[in-house]
Amino acid sequence: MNNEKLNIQYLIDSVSAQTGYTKKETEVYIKEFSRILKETLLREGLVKIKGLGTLKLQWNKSRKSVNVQTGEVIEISGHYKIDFTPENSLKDFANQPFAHLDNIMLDTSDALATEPNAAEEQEQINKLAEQALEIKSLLSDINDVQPVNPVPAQSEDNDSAEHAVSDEPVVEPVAIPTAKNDKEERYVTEVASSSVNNSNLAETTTEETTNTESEDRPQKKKKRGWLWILILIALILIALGTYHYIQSNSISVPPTPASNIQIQDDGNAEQVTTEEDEPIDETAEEEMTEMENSESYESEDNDDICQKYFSDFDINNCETLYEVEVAEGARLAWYSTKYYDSYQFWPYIYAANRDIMSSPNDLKKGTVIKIPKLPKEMIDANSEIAIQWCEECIDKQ
Amino acid sequence: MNYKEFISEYSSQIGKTQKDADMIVSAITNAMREAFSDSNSVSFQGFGIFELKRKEERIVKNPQTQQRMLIPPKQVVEFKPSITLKEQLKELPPSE
Repeated sequence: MNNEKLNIQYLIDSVSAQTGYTKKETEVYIKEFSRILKETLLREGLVKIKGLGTLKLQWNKSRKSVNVQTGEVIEISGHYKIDFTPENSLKDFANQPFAHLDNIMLDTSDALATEPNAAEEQEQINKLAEQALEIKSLLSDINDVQPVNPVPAQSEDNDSAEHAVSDEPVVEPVAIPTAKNDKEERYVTEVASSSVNNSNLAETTTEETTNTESEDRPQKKKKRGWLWILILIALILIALGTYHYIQSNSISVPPTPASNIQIQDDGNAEQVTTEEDEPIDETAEEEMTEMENSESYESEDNDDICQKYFSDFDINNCETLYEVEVAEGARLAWYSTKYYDSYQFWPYIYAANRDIMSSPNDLKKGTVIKIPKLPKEMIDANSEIAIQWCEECIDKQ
Repeated sequence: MNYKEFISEYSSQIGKTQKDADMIVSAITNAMREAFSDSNSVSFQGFGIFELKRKEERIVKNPQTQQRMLIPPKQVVEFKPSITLKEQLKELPPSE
């Protein structure tokens, strides 16, 4: 017997069994019970039955509503409703199948705790969405502000130029093609309306727009475009100039130390103290002076002396001519050309930097390499000895 | 109308003493309880039906303590008036 709708027959059987009356009698009693219950309820508005509950009449006032199909306004007239409140004991009987269950307190770490988290997440999503919209509006305002910004350029060149450099690509295509009054007026109104959102840009533009006249705008706008182009060209020229300057500077450095050494050696036998003060260097320097003195003699002796000199020269312990930060795409041969006037002597640079270079091509941008200070004889492109020695140097590596 | 008044009216109508009337009504309510405990509904023709409805479990949150609670499922008794009864309700004079 489950979820069945029991009719009066069930009650007759039960009641007659309980009371002992005949079934015919109980049928009458039960039907009367139902009738009187109804009548008293309608008459009195409230009936209480022990063991059952309370039946009440409830009056709902008339209210206005809408016809869902036609959409017209409808009045729902006032009416009665019956309200039944079961007794507590009856509730227990009714809840028999679930009587053993009880309320459970939940922790936040419960699996079902996803519900409030979802709400929090939703809030976060909403906040992010709002922020995104604000950013979007700011960006659109900035883009709108650009065309009118150039107008005061002549008077506020420095400030606007700084803005211009970063915003050039946006401004140029917008400023050049259009020069109609209508469009500008629209820009002006947009700028004026967005002035609340923007900080610096808006303030300057609103001030500017009030100052400028509408007639001058088209001409000034055209001038503004050309101005940006000129600034761009000027920057390129400056960049080229500095690049050339750096190149010329670097080339002029190598010769001077060599000449310095000559002068010093002529003055006294002592050598200029450097970080790498080796006895070998001193002998090399002294020999160098001898070499130069005897340079005029182009004889085999010269070659022998050169050979001896070369063999004594220790690439690892020589002075550093220059320390260079490797540029992008640099090669040893390139540096050799720059400092030794010939690409052939790149092995010396490689030898001097073996500790940081695993192979001749291992030149990484930004690394500092030493350009060894080689005596004139060794980097003489015309000298066969020098070339031979260089080749031998390669073989040694 | 309280219970006593109802019994007196009922008893007079069926021609029984109030004691007997009370006994009969008690028997009726007992029978109904039994039916409810077996998850069955009881209907009175021309009056209405006392039907059992199942309420699913739900999570509630105390707004002050923020304590979350799981309310288990349960069965409740609800009264649904019959059509004739509803018609009679319409004929009643308005309350206002």
